[in-house]
Amino acid sequence: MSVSALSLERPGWWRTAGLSAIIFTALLPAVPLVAEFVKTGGRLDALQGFIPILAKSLALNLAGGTVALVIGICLGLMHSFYSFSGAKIIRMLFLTPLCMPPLLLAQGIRYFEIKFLTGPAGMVYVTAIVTLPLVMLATITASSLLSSGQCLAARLAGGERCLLRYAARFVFPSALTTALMGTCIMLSCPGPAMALGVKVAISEILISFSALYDLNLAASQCLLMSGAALLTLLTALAISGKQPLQNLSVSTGSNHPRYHPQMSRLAFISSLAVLVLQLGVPATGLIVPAISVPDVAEIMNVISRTGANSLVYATGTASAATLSGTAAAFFMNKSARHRYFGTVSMLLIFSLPATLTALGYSAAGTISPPWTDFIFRSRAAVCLSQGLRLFPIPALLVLRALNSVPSSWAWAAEMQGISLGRYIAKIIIPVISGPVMAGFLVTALFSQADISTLLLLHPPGSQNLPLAILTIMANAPRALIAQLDLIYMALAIVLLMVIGHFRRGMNT
Amino acid sequence: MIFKRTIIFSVLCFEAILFGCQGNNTQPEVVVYTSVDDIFSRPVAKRFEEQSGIKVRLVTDTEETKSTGLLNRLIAESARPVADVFWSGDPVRAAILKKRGISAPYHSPSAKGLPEEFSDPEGYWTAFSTRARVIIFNKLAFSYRKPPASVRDLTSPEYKGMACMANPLFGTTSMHAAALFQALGPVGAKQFFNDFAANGGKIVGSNGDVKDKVASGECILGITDTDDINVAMKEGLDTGFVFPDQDTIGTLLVPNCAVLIKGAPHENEAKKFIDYLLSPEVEEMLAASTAAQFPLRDNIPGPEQFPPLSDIKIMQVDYNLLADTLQKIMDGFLKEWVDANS
Repeated sequence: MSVSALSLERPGWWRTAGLSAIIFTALLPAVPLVAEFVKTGGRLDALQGFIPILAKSLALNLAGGTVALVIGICLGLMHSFYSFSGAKIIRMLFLTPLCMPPLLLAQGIRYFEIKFLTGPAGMVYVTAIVTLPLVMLATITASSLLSSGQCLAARLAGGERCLLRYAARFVFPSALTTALMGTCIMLSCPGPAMALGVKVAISEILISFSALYDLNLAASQCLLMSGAALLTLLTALAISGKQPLQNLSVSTGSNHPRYHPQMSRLAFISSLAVLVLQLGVPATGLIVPAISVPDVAEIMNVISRTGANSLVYATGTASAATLSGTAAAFFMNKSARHRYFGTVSMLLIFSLPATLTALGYSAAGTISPPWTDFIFRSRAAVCLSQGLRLFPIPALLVLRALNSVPSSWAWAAEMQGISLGRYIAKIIIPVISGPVMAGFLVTALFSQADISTLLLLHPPGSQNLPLAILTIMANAPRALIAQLDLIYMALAIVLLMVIGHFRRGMNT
Repeated sequence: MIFKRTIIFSVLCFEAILFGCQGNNTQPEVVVYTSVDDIFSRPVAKRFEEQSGIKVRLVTDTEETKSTGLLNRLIAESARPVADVFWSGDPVRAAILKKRGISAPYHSPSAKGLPEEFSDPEGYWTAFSTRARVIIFNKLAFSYRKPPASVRDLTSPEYKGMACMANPLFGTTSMHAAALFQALGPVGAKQFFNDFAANGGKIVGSNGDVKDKVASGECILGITDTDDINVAMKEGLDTGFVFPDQDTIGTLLVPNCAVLIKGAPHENEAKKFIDYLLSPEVEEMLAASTAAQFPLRDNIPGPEQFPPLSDIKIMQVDYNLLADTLQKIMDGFLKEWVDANS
C-alpha cells in the first residue's frame, strides 16, 4: 500500500517528534557545559567581574546593530521600490561581510590606520557592517509583503516620501529582530576584539579558557553570555510580535522595483556610498599593505595546505545543515503552531555562541570511548557542530518554498492515485531544489566565517584558510596576511556571484 | 533536469566528505601541538617529514592571538591524548604539563651539547633554541636621548603614557611577569606593575602589537621578544632594541621545549620527532629563520642581527618554580591588575 501525498498536508505526531529531535540534537552538545555549570553552582563569585564586561559588549554591539538598523532599513527600502542598473550585483556585494570571518574585516580596518576606528569605535563599525546585510535582506523580504495596490495607494496619498514612511513602519519589526540577531551573533565573535584590542565578553571567555585553564569558568561565562543573547532576542521578538517570524517562514510576494528618476539615482548613490564604507574601507586597509611583490610560494603553500580542508569543512557543514534544515522544514510546513515554535527555536539556536557547542563537543570527545572519535575528534565534528548551528538558513529557505505549494496539488495527486514518493519526486523536489542549493551554498560560505568552532575542534593538521590566516597573523609579514585576506575576500565575492546565479533559490 | 543535477551534486558532496574525513593510515605519523608560531614551526616539521618519511600533523597556536588554549586542549584530552609531542614556546607551559601529570620523561640522545640548566632534570622537558625578552624603542623618539636600560625604565615619568607591553596573562609576557616576581620578589614586581599603570603604560593585544605601536610612534618604548624585533628589522621599521637589565637582574631567556605526552598514540614517532627537534640542525634552522632564535649550543652560530648569547647577562630563574608562581599570580594579582588597567 502506498502512502498518500496528502500525508504531507496533514498534522501528526511525527511533526512534533521530528522537529523536537532536530532541535534537541542541535542543543545536545551544550548539555555537558550546563551540567558542569549546575554542579558547581555557576561560579557566581567569579562571574561578578564578568557581568560589567558583558554589559559593555552588549552596549557596543547594540550600538553597531542600531547603526545597521537605520542604514539597513533605508537601503533595503530603496532596493525594494526603485530599480537602477547594477542593483543585483550591488546587493550581492553587500552580502560579502557575512561570508568573511569578521576578524579579516577588523584586520582591514586596523590596517586602515585611522585612530578613530581602533578600539570600541572599530567594534561598533565591524558589528554594523556585518549586521547591515541581514537588516537589508529582512527589509527587502518584509516589504515584498506589501501589495502593489498598497504601494500605489501610498504613492497617491503622499508621493514617494509617504510610501517610504509607511513601508519603514511596516518593515521595522522584522528589521529590528534581524538587527538584534546580528548583535547576538557578533557578541560571540572573538575576531574583531582580537584585532582591535578591545576587552569584551568573548575575550574574557578566551582568557578563562586559554590563560587561566579554567574550563569551568569559561563554561559559566559562556552560558551567561548565551543567556544574555537569548534574552535580547526574546525581548526583540516580544516587542516585534509575530510578524517577523511570519515573514521569515511564509512565502512572500516579490518586489517590483520601478525606475524613478530622482529616487533611483539616490538609491544608486547611497548604495555605492554605503558599499564604500562597508567593503571599501576594510579592502583599502588590506590593499595598501598588500602592495608589494607577493610571496607566491608562501601564498600557494598556505592555499594548497588548507584548500582541500576548506572544501571538506564547507561541503560537510553545508550537507549537515541542508539535510537537517530540509527535514525541519518538512516537519514545520502546514502547521502554524510548528512553524512558530520551530522558527523561534531556530533563531535562538542560530544566535547562540559557536563556542558553546564547540566546547561541548570537545568535552564529549574526552569522555567518550575511542570508537566515537569519528564523530567527536575528526573533521566530522566540525561539520556537525557548525551544520547543526547553521541549519536554520536552509530550513527557512526550504520552508518558504514549501509554503508556495498549494494544498490543492496534493489533493489532485491523491485523486489521481499518485504515491507520496512520486509526488515528492515530481512536484516537491523541483520546487525546493533551488532553495536547497542556495541554502547549501550560503551555509558553506557562512561556515568559513566561523573560526571559533575550527579553533576548538579541528583535528591535527586540518586547518582551513581562515584559521591558517589567524595562526600566522602574529608574526608573518603584514603584506602576506593582507594578500591572503584579499584572496579570501575575492573568493567570497566570486562564490556570492555564483549563489546569485541560483536566482530561483534566492528569490524565495 | 534540476532533480538530476541535485542528485549528481549531492553524490559529489557526499564523496568529497567521505574522502575528506578519511585519513591516510598507511604512512606513519606524529601529532605535534605547538605554541611556537606557525611560520617558524612548519618549516621544521616539513624538513623532518622529508628526512624521516613520518607525516607531521601540526596543531599550531599563537599566544599573541589568544587562540586555542592549546595547553588547555592538552589538559582536556589527557584521559585519551591525541597529541604525541608538545613543542612549547616556553618552559613554563612544559612545567605546567609536568605538574598535571600530562607529560612523560624522555632523555633524548640528541640533547647532547645542550646546557642542562634550562631543562627539567627528570627529563619531562628538554630546552633548545631560545628567544630573549628585550626593550624595543622608537629610534626617532630616542635620537636625542639615551635608550632605556632596564624594564623598570618603563615606569619612569620621562616616558609617561608612552610605554606599552602585551597582555601579561598571555604568552611570553606572562612568563616575564612570573620571572619578575621571582627576580624582584612579590613586593618589587607588584610595585613595577602598579608604577607602570600609574605612569599611563598601555596594555596591548600582543607582542606584535607592541612592535607596531612603537614603530608607528603611538608608544615610544615597550617590551617584546627578539623574534618580533627581527620582524621589525626585516620590515625596515625605525625601531631599536636593548637587552634590558644588563647591570642588574639580567635579560630573561625564553627557550623552546620538547615534551613527550604521556600515553602518546605514536610514541616511537614522537621520540624521533623530539630527537630531531633537539638536533643541532634545528637550532641552526631556527637561528637562520625569521624567528632569529639563539642556539643554546655554544658551537652553533647565532643569528647575525644579535650579539652572541655569551655576551648577554642572563636572568637566573627556576623554570619549575616559575610555573607555580605564574599560576598563583594569574588567578590573583595579575588578573586583577589587567582587569583594572585595560
